[in-house]
Amino acid sequence: MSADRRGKIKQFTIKAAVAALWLVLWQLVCIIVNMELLVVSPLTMLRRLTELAATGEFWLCSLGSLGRITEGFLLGSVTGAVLAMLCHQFSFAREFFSPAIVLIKSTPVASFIILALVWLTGQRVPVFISFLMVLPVVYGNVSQGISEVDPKLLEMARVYGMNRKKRVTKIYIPSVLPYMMAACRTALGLSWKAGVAAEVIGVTKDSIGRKLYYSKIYLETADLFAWTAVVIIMSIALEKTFIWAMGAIGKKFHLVRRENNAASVK
Amino acid sequence: MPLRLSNICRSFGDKQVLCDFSMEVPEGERACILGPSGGGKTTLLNIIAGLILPDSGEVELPEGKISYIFQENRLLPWLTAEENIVAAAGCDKQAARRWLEAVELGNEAKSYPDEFSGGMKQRLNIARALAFDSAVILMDEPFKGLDPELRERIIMRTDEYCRNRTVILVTHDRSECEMMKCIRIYEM
Repeated sequence: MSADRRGKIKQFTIKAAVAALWLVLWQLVCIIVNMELLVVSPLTMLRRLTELAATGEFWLCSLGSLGRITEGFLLGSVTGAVLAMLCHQFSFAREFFSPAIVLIKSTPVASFIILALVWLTGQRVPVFISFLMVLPVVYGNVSQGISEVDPKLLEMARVYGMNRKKRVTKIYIPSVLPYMMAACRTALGLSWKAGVAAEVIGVTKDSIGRKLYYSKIYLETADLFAWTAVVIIMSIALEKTFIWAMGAIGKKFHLVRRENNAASVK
Repeated sequence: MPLRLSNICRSFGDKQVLCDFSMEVPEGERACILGPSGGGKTTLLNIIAGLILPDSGEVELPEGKISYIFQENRLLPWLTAEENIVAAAGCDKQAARRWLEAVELGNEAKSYPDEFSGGMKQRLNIARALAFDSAVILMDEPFKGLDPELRERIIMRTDEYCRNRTVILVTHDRSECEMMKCIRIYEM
């Protein structure tokens, strides 16, 4: 057995042991509290999740939320990256957009949700809120990435007469990509949290948020736990898929190293 | 048209690095600039490359492009050796491989710069500059970090591939000037 494989097995074992420990702790808390209205056991949550997963409504709500949050996330990522590039290129754009970015960062998400409920139809509110959460994170990281591009590489490009397209694809994008990926990791979690909160407050049709809201109204704690687990699972799955897709695109277009990708991705 | 520098002055803050420096190198000839560290040799090459402007004085360059063997190799870490040459020199992969073979890196075409030793990175830096179709080659301590035997072979090949190009070689080592057949020597 290679050292690499042994290392992976060891890492997996540690992770599994930690997960098991947390499950035991959860079960202990459940036994101590002894009131399913407050805390349900892992087994009850799993049973309820299985029951829910057998219904069509479960998939309608889960995929509905996934679609809206992914849409908001992608819109926010693209807009944030484009805005960062614009602001790097034009100082007027930087002066113009900076107050808006500060405003978005410092305004409580609940205020935006309530405003969005007034401005938009129910289905669009989570998209807009996810977009708003992602935008400043991606903007900030990409701006930092652009400003930290090695000036010596840019000088080299200048001497060798590399045109704008080459400078962007061979220097700027590979330099900024690790910052973009780090931003997306953070932003994905935020977009799920804020997006589902928007669904809860807006009671969006066919959404996980609406189900969480009803769990609260009808004191269905098992449902609350089960739907929360769905959010966590989908958030992790989306993050992994996104990071994998970015890595694959990066490798295809020679933006990151083909082997040992982790070395070049922060 | 010769490469001509007339009365170049350059300061960084209060420190004057170049003062009234002049040189002239006819097209296709080679000049060597010798001198201790901090004497302004790299600043001079950066002025010729157009990376920095002189405070005063004039720079006239021959027609055509310039390639530069930087002291710090300035390779793109996310590209393989071969791709580094293609990206900068604009040649095809086959040509890039030939240049890699010329600096004895033929088997490392698919390797990344961070897998290279300092000497190998420097050879890739040399190959990139040679591959670029330029009229002038600026060399800033190009053979530093190469082991003696290899250094001799690389100097001989660099000399061969620089034929008909104007070369400005910056070094501490007078023997490199001789091996590169530099006609003009400037001490700073």
